[in-house]
Amino acid sequence: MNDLDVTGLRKSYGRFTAVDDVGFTVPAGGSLGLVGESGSGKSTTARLLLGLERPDAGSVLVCGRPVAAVSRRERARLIQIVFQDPFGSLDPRLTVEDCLTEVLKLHFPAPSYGKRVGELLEQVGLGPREAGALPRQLSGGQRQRVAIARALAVQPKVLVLDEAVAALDVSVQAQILGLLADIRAAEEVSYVFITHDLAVVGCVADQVAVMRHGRVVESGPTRQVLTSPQHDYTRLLLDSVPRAAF
Amino acid sequence: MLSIEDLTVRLPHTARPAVDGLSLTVAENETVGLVGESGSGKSLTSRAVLGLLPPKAEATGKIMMDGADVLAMNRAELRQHRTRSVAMIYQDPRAAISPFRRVGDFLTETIAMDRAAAAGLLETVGLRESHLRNRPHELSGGMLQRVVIAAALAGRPRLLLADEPTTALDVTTQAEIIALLRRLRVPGMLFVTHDLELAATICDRVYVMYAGRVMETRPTGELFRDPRHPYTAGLLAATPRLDELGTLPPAIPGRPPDLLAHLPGCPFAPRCPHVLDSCTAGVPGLVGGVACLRAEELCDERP
Repeated sequence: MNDLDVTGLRKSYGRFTAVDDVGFTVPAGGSLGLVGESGSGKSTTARLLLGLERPDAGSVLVCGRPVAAVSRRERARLIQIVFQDPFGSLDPRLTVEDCLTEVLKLHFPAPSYGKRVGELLEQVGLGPREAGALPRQLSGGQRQRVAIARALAVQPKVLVLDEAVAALDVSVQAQILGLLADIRAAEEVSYVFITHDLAVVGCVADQVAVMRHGRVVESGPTRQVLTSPQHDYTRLLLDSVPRAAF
Repeated sequence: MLSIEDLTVRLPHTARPAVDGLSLTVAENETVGLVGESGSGKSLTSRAVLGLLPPKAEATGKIMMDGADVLAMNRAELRQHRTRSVAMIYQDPRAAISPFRRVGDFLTETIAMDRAAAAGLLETVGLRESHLRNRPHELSGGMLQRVVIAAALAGRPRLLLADEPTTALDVTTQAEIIALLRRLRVPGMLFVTHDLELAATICDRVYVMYAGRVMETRPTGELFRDPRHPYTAGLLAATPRLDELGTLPPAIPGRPPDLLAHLPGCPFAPRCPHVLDSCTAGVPGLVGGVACLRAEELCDERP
């Protein structure tokens, strides 16, 4: 069974159609890159996947279960998201440890959480020193690791990464990309990578879907789409990527 | 044209200078890149060129613009400097323009300029005269950045400071703005960015900064073909590339130092794969455009 089945997704705001007949699938343990420029509807698609918005038409199935029909808590166990700026999604008053404990308390009642918190932090390359820190005491890369650890805490089937590495420095971005690849290899989780950066998609995604004006204009295996693009818009995107002119 | 000599900028409550002994030149008809990660001091450097340092910052060294020292200028001279010699383009055009005023007002308010001149400027940056009547919210980010560029050109500056001018833009818009900046042929340009690849597309020469210091400076082609400093090499390797599909770029371990850490010797030493004990003993100077003790040796080791 596929981890994610999206069919005929549509969302309009007034007369403006933000997402129009979008569909894709992600096989178990797969990785899909959703590429597009601002206004292409990729972030609205993310909100629809998470159940944060109700689609006007179409359906989102995670492991065969419709996200629109399950309870909030169950939905959280199926699909999680990491945003571009973890500063905006982490509570500034909670230490890293408290932040993870809160999620675990909500989903897995147990007498103590210390061991699991330690495991999660280790998984994302953080130690006990960071566990006691507040978000503002951490660097951007460390905050993003915390956000990833929090998303993984509930052992979701699908992790949506909405421009999750866009705000990071190149040297740190490569660390996070490596971390995400390791996690996918070790856990049963699949990724939806939402990004404007084709080069990033090229190194992490098996499949890619290119969005424009709310529609998917081209999709297929990453190598095929990036090396022999069929749609003019994909070609324009590829030609716009800066590269050293030797 | 622009020559920065041994610029050091200290911010209050920090352990080390944010810009540390930086020397940089921009010659006539040259586009120079200043590349670094966040916190490397690149933006502070470009602000120093405008004489726009934070109030409590202490700056030493010299910033010579056509023979005049920016750090020694009085207010009247600074105003003249900012209107006639140097102009700046920022990252986010929406933050640079008042949302309440029309584009035409924005262009004509600061410098005595008539509508015809403003319309001419808009044409230079690829917009139409009718855009003068638009308000900022009616224009896209790319169009608005063109307006900001037009305003920067109004004073016929000798030097254009572009601080991450395309970072907030989409990749296709970025390509258009870069093409525009190339076409404009301002006498000199200092292009500040975190994106090495982008710097490569537009700059003649690149300075790579790390923790307030210049790590490497060479002509763009050479720097990319054969990076000598381990930091430059690491940064280039860490950049995801379209021609290396399916492979993860190797990361540089650790993280950039913050301003509270005092760094003896080479600032990159704690993250460097080739570090020796002597690296932390003293700060390596720039030799042949590279600030690395082992540059020669590492260069010889390679096939």
